[in-house]
Amino acid sequence: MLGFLYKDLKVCKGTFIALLIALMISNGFILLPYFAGAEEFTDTMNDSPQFWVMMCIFAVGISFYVGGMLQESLISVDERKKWAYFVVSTEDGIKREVGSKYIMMILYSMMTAFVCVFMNALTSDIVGGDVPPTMGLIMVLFFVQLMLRAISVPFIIAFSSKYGNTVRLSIFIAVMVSAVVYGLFGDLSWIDLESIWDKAFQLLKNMNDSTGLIWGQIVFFSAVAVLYYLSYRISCKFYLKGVEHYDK
Amino acid sequence: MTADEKKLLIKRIGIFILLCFIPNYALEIGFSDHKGGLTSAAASQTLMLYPAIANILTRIITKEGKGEHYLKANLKKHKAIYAGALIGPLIVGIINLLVTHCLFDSSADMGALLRKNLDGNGIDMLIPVVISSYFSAAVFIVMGFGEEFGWRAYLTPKLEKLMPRFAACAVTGVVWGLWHAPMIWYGYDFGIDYPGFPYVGILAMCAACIPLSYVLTWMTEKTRSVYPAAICHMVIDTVMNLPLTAMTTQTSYYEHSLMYGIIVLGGAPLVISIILIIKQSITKKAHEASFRSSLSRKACGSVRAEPSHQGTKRAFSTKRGE
Repeated sequence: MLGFLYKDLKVCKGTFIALLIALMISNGFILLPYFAGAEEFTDTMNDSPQFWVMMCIFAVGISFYVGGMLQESLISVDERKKWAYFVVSTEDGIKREVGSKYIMMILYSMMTAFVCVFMNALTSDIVGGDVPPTMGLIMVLFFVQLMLRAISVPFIIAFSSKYGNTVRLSIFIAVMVSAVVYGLFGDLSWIDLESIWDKAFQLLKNMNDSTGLIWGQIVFFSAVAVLYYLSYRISCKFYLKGVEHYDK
Repeated sequence: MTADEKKLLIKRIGIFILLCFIPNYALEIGFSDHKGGLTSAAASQTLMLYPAIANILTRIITKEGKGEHYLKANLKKHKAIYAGALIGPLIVGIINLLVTHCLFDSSADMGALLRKNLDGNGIDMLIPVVISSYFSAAVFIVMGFGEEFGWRAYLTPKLEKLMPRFAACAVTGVVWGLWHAPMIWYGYDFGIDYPGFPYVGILAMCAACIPLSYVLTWMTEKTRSVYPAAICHMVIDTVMNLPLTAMTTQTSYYEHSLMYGIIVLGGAPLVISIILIIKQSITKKAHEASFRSSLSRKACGSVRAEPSHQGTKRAFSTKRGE
């Protein structure tokens, strides 16, 4: 397994560095207005702290989105028939090959989470004000990212990245279209758009203060862990099917 | 080991220690708030990573290469140790709570304290907090890995080439304790209200780190992997003290901060180290006894078997010209 991981790290060294830089940029962009004018920035943020919340949530969200995009490139780099048949011929080859991908994805997510926490701390150091606590959000997004990979990776492995992405995209479009249709014709009275960011800020602050919320997180995290393992087992099962779809 | 090899080994250890200490001391002194904390949150996020960075840099600077890296997980063979690393610190945390309660806080009502400290929720809140802390320890395991990849996967194995295991762990423990010195100097871990502050605190940290170092080294050497130690370290940092902080009075904690620190950090590891040392010496003696008896059996067997030895037989038959 270690050999496969080492190989992945060597092959995806560029992606890994790109991820690090992308995370720094995506988390650091909230400092740009501060550098443009420190006093105005501090005044604005003191007057309307919702901006801070919006910016921090946006920065963390973008970081995990970028991290997720680069995670999937890990699988496509090995899409060669010769390599796949060689892997199959080795002892526990499929399990090791697929397992290494799943471990690498966790490592990417861990790196994303660490950089987000670090950049949040750095922002707090530079600005010197109360930066909204994003630790709870980062934990949730970490597991959301793993959940999304747990759903998408079996598709990519079973149909190769080319067809897998098409299948996934069609499902995504179907969900989006349904959401838009609901947005246009459905009942939206339960969403209070005026106070949504205040509520988000309160949620971020109270994430670890309410027993119900903590239990909710635990159930979600545990379910994602089980789903991730099941996804790995399914991917192992369909690995050879996906090899047939490789171009090279 | 030749003199040159020994010299190179000492040089590597020296470079590693320097690379560990320089950034740590610079940040902890430079950003200290003089109350045991740091003024920079970003700096505190990186502190635990420097031993791992020092490991990698030392290997590059001294052209050592990968060598014994302890990066293989070996999970299947050593599931019990992994489970111990995960659950052990929590059990130790509960034992620590009971010991410190009996010693310093026996008049306090633990149930009432638990409810008071957790906004009236008591155990209903403590259990989910402990479980969710396990999840955050898993997500930020890189921190525990950062320290253990330096101390257990580099320094101790290097020192073990120069001295026996316990001495190597003791030296690592002292180095590890001194690495924490600037924080303790400003009141982290043990507070400031104890006799001999801050020197006694630094000595106490070194003393507490020795048995902890021994236990973590045992895990690393047994599994030939750094991960159990990293998991254990992270669980110690995030989960172990939760029961204690939830059920201890603040006044008792501040009055006996040094003793609390010593018991929490070094108490259980000391007991576990003693058990491990006794167990290892018994196993070693049993091995020596069985080796000696097998040697003597072989010696007796060879004396008796000499006349019927194939070589002698063949020589005898050649002599006779058969």
